[in-house]
Amino acid sequence: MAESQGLDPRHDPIYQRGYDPAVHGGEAPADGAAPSRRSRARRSSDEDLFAPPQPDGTEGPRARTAGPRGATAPRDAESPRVSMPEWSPFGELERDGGADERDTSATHDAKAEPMVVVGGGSSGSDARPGPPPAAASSVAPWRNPYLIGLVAGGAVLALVGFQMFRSALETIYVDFAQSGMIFGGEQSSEEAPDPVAELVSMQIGWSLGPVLFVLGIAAILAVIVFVAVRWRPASTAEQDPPLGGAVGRESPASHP
Amino acid sequence: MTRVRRLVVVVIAAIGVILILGGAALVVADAQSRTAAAQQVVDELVDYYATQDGYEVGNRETLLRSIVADSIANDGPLPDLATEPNRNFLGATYGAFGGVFSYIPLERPWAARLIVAPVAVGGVLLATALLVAAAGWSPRQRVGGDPA
Repeated sequence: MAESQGLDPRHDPIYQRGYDPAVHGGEAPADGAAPSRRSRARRSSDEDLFAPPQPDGTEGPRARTAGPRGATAPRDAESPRVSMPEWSPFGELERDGGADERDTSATHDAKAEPMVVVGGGSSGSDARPGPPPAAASSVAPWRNPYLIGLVAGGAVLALVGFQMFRSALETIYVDFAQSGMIFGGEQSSEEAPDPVAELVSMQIGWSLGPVLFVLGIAAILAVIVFVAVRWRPASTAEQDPPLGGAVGRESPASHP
Repeated sequence: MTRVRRLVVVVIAAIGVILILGGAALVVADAQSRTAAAQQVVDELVDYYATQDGYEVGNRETLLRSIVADSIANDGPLPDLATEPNRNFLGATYGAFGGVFSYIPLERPWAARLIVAPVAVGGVLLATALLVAAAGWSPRQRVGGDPA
């Protein structure tokens, strides 16, 4: 892709990865002077995307649509500028080069609403109404019921497998020593339970115990790897809406 | 979670559950058959030496446990009763080290360590299904909306 060398001139640069308003220019055309290469549908989509906030304080209809990871979308239709997060490689460039630009438009943006973080997901073109993938990934892992089940099941499997193998070992060796067989003593089999059932359970524990133990440990390790893959820097996580806020905004009552 | 992903998760989880249940049943059947085979060997051995004067093979349950434990611990074949009619005695050989001059019978093409493979594969598939479901989970489901 041309995300590092440049942007595809056939498409609007604001929708391409690697877009930097300080480098590629992000000033929106004035109202009434729509770009000639934009179709009417594209123009309508932009107006929908950069719609001003609703009177009840909620965001615009598509303000929460997932965009590039960590990108922020302006809510002011007159200054559709994308601000890079601090960890972005373009963040420093924007802070240095874009300072003057922000100063000149400071009075213009004085009445503008604060920037709202909307991105972070991997599917930037997902226009479905609902939380962006970033909302799910920013949710604490202990709130994911599947991960909870996997961790709990893994712990139970590990404990059960360990206990099964330990019981099998006791059946094989400890009972022999206690009955005196190993040390040549007298054997007392009168109080012994059913030997067949005991031997069957011993074999099951011997066979399945290690497997269950390994599966339990593997399940816990899988959850750790899963959480590690989805981990993001704290600065990015702080910009994401919390779970309660995300759910509240995504509730049907908020968006009729 | 898309409908296709949900279908994949359901299929993987179903296969995992089937493998786990089938593998567990296989392990139980193997344990029972091994115990039954050892029981048959011990009974035949004890009954034979009960008619011979001067021979004592010991307690029946202890001998049975010893044979089964050796067979399962050494991942060996089933215990077998070797008969040498010329010398008029019965010798029970079991385990991988049953004796120098005794042959090791192989009555089944699998061992105790291989018979748990279906359970292991089923567990891995079930964990994979849970991970895929966890990857597609979003807090929107808590609101009550359709996740699909």
